[in-house]
Amino acid sequence: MLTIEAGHRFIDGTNVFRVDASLSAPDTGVTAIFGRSGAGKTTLLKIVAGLLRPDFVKIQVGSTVLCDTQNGAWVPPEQRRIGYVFQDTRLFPHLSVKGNLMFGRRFNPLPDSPDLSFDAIVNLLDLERLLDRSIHNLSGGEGQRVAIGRALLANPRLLLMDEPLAALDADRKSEILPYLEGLRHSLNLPILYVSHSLSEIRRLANWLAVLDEGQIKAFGSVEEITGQMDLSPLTDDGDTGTVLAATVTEHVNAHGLTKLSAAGQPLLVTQLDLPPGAHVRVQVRPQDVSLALERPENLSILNIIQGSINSILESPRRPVVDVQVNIGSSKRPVHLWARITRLAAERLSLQEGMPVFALIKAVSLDKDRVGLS
Amino acid sequence: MFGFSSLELEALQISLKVSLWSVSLSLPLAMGVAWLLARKEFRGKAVLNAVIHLPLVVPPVVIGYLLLILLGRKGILGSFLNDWFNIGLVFTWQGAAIAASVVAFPLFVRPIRQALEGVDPRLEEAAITLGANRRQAFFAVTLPIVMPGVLTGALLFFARALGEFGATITFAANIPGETQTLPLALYAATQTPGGDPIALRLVFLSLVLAMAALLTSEWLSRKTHFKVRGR
Repeated sequence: MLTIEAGHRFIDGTNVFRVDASLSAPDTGVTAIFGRSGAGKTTLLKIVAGLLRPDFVKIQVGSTVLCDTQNGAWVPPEQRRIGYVFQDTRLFPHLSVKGNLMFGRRFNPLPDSPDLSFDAIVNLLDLERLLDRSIHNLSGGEGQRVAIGRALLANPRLLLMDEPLAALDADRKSEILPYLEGLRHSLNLPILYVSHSLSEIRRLANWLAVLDEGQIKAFGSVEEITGQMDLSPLTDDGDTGTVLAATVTEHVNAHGLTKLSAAGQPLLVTQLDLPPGAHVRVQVRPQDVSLALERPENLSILNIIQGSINSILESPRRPVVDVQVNIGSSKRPVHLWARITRLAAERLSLQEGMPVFALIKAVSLDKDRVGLS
Repeated sequence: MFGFSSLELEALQISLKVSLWSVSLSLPLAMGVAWLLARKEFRGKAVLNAVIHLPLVVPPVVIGYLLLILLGRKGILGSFLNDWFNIGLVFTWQGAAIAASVVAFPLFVRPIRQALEGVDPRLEEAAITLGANRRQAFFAVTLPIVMPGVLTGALLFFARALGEFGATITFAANIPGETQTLPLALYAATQTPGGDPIALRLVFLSLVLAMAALLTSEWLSRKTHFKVRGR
């Protein structure tokens, strides 16, 4: 297990910011820490890395206790072997790419696992042709790859990534995401990944912790949390929705579509390059979901999914309401969020418990919204 | 050698000895003070900054006289050094080195401080997450990046120490073979009837020394600049 408990009060003039976070995550896979700017995400990572020393803290990775204020245990940050990938890369300007990559080797034991050898990391992140370059001649995406490689080559027991894609434009993001996916699949290393983009989380994370005002509000699998909570108030870029676990059932080649099965119901998406039986995750944005009280006919929308209303979130000042629809069974609920106007909700007199049909256009579920789980 | 008298060569040797010792002794101190001024906030920072820069605005003779008061045989610190360690600084080349150091010190601190202010302190944080302790992070990351600033400071300091006159003659006097540096020897030559040929040769030596220092510093800074910028 990866245990993080931290409590601290930051006083900056008259502002008091309180962190009071407690998190127990599995020590394999990627745990995303999700929250709006100022929620304390970076602060939490700095506490884990030991760059901040809070009033109260306990960090345990596997069986190793890194710090525990209750019995005075404190491993200094340089001895924690916690890799940190910063948003702004922080590459050393006086060293070449290779010099940056080798920096941590001077201070750390060599890794036991061949997965973290120099050649393996260079290969994984495709750094071979960058090695002799100066870091002044790297693009944003290349710089971030070097920064990730530098952290991995210091032989970490845990990797922290602080919005590594936030400073990159959309093209650079899609250039680097496959490398991060590769990292997750080929390294047996727990990763804490801070982000406020649900599509990143959907592609990379196994677990999701929601951080708000310094507190962990929810923790669970990505599918669970996105179905339970409306995360849209916490994102800056409006990239939210529900993440559904699904399986590829068949390809409808003639129409360029792929049929998936999600929560026991068929779901058509634009064609995927994956074999039947593959497990995927589908991100359904709430604004792409419409609701109907009866099964509509003569409609262009291909996905008509039966369910019932679980809850309705409305606030008087907003012109929209978010409706949580259970498309699973009552025993094994699977939740889907639909965002509709308040006017539409009033016209349909939506009530909790009401049976509804959720309508999702297949074109809204393109390959940017679907990925391997 | 080349028609230089032993007195002139001795002056060159003393000048070099005094300047080089000044540079090496002042280097760690200048780094420390520059680091304090660039990275730390503390009470009395403005006062420290003013005191460091004082020699730039005060006539060197004043500095020399202050050193006499402070470090002279009857001085506050000087009597202590004399009684306990039997160290006398007045009229010695070590005294000349101290006088030159004090006068040139601000020129050493300023470029280092500016270079340090240009380095993102978060780079050291990154180094720490990679396993370096604070000291290692400074020496492996910050120091190489500020190296051009250190070299600039060292050159300015060296040049100023080489030309130091007022504080040296006041504190260490003009003793041939002990404290008579090139400028002091030149001054003595100009005060002696028929000393013109000596003065000219001393001028020549001074120019050669200055050129050598400039070229060395240019070469060194090109080397470190190349490393830092990587081009």
